[in-house]
Amino acid sequence: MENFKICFMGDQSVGKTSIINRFIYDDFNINSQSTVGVDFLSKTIFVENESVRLHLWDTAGQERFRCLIPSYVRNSSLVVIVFDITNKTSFKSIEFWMDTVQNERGDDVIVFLVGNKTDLEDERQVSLEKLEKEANKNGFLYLETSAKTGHNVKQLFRKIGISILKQNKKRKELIKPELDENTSLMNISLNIDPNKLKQKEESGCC
Amino acid sequence: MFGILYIKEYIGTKSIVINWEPIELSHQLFVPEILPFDHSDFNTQFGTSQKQPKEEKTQNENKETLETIDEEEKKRKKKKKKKKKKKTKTKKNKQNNKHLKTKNELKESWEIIKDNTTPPPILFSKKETSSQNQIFNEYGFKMSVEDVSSIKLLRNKIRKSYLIITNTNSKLKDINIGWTVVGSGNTEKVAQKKSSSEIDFSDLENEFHQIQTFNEEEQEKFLQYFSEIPKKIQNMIPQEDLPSTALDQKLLDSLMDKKGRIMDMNKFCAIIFYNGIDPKIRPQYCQGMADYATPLIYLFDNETEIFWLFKKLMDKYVGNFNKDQQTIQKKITMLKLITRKLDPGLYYSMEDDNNESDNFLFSYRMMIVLFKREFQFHDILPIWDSLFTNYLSDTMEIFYIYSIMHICRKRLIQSNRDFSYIVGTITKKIKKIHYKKIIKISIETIFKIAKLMKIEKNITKKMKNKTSKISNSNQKN
Repeated sequence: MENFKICFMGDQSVGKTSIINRFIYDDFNINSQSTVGVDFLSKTIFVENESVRLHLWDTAGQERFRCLIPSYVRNSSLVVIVFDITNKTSFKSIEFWMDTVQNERGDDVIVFLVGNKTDLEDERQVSLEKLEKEANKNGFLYLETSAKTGHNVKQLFRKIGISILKQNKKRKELIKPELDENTSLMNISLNIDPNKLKQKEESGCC
Repeated sequence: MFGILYIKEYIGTKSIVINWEPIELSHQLFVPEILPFDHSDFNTQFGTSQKQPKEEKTQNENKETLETIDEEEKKRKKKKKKKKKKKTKTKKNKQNNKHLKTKNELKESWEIIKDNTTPPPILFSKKETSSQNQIFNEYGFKMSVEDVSSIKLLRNKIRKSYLIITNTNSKLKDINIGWTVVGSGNTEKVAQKKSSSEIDFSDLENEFHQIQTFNEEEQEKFLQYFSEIPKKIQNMIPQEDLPSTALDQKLLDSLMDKKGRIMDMNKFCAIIFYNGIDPKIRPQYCQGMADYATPLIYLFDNETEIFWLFKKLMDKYVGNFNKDQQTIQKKITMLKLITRKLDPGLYYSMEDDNNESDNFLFSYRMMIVLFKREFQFHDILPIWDSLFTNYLSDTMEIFYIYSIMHICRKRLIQSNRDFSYIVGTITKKIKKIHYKKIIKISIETIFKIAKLMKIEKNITKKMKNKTSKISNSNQKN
């Protein structure tokens, strides 16, 4: 079973801890304590007949602790940026979080945008369209959740599992042929489509 | 807590009995800074024109101030009381008025003073900055006091919020003034009571005739000054009403849940941070500061005590919350150095020497909040007690963390530099460890380090001696 590190980021009092608590304990506490530094939790899930162990890193949102975040992002395979639907400033600061991620990892990481607190539909300040725009700009995945009611939280983590497995397979495919090149040329030749070979021959003829 | 100091009694020419009365203001600590009066100037400003009336017997008036003193003493004092200690209407007014005084009220109070039934209301000094005065600076006002012992006495008195004494070291015989203590060279001597027959009040009575008061010019200045104060203060205070600073039981219940965690952050901020502190000095709230405050609120009822204890705590640990995180990084590097010195096997199983991995960040939260989140609430109090003593080292928490690592050693060595594994094992194991064990091991480690340091020093000394010998022999040759 493989371990994957997932980093939760976002402004303070956005609901990072409560999303994680909803996922792991299926519980919601209004008076949850503010996180200091980092909290760490882990859980295994089953996606597409495979078991995946997720290490969830719950970072503190306040500005004081931001200088620590790059070191947490360093080895993570997926980053979840959370913002509050009822709070515009938390949506605006998504750019900041993206910059911190991209400075550390480039485009190497999968990024999820999550708008939390859908149960407060009356006080909504950030529309779904804006979220879509923001996500499509950078090619991020996005979802709207509610940690209080549990809306979309399970789906979020299922999607996380699926996308992580996809990325992992891609990586393995990238790595394998390089390794096999030295050992046996046969494996590479098997991977090549006969149609492509024909095209190459045709072009070669010209 | 801010109070008004006013002279309650004159004893001789040099010593004065001062009464301190707490007043509730929202921005309390501003006020003493504005006051330009010097203690010394004030003394000289008493003119020679008028005299104070002689003493009258009034026993009931002192009931409030006597409450904290033992009953036996009360009985003695009541016998001895020949002096006048007058309470005036202004005093009651002050207690009733939680808000600022208006001009008219000040004038009224002044008029009473004019009649010489009561002494003038306030005296502050600004210039003294000796180390002894620090206690008073904390409480928001300054005074000139010369003895350390008398300062201690004063401090206790202030806490009980009544009656303070001054001043000077000369000419004070063993005068007993009922319930007050006169600060002099030997406060202990003075505090000893004599029976009423032994005391001669004839000297005192003579001195009372010489008591000095203001000139008319000085009176005008004084009045002008006080008329300006309310304006200055009003500019400084926000116009909305701030919530009161008193901590009732109801308020406490609403603030904290059963585990002693603070629930409503905004309320808490309003109570602890925004009342009564200069906004320049006021630290910004940072997550984790609440953890410092909860035990204090749990332990103490008095709001002022909580405030100043919290301030003292922050003086020491505010570096933990700095933006640049340098103090924490320093502490973490200290931890690394200690482990590399004492237990290199553990160190290299956790961390490379290239500083690429930050596995020691697991100690981050322990350092910031001083184990508040790791241990249960009733265990934290003894742990903090041992931390704040500064007995063996100022940064004892580093050694505590090292000893925790030492207890979890077997598992940590298996970690293979996997951060999540390290954090997981420590969070699981720390619940089972008794805090006394941690303290014991950390003390042992400190002694180990001291031994190592000694040995190293000796080695370096020997090396120096050897090299010097060699160089000497070379020179001879």
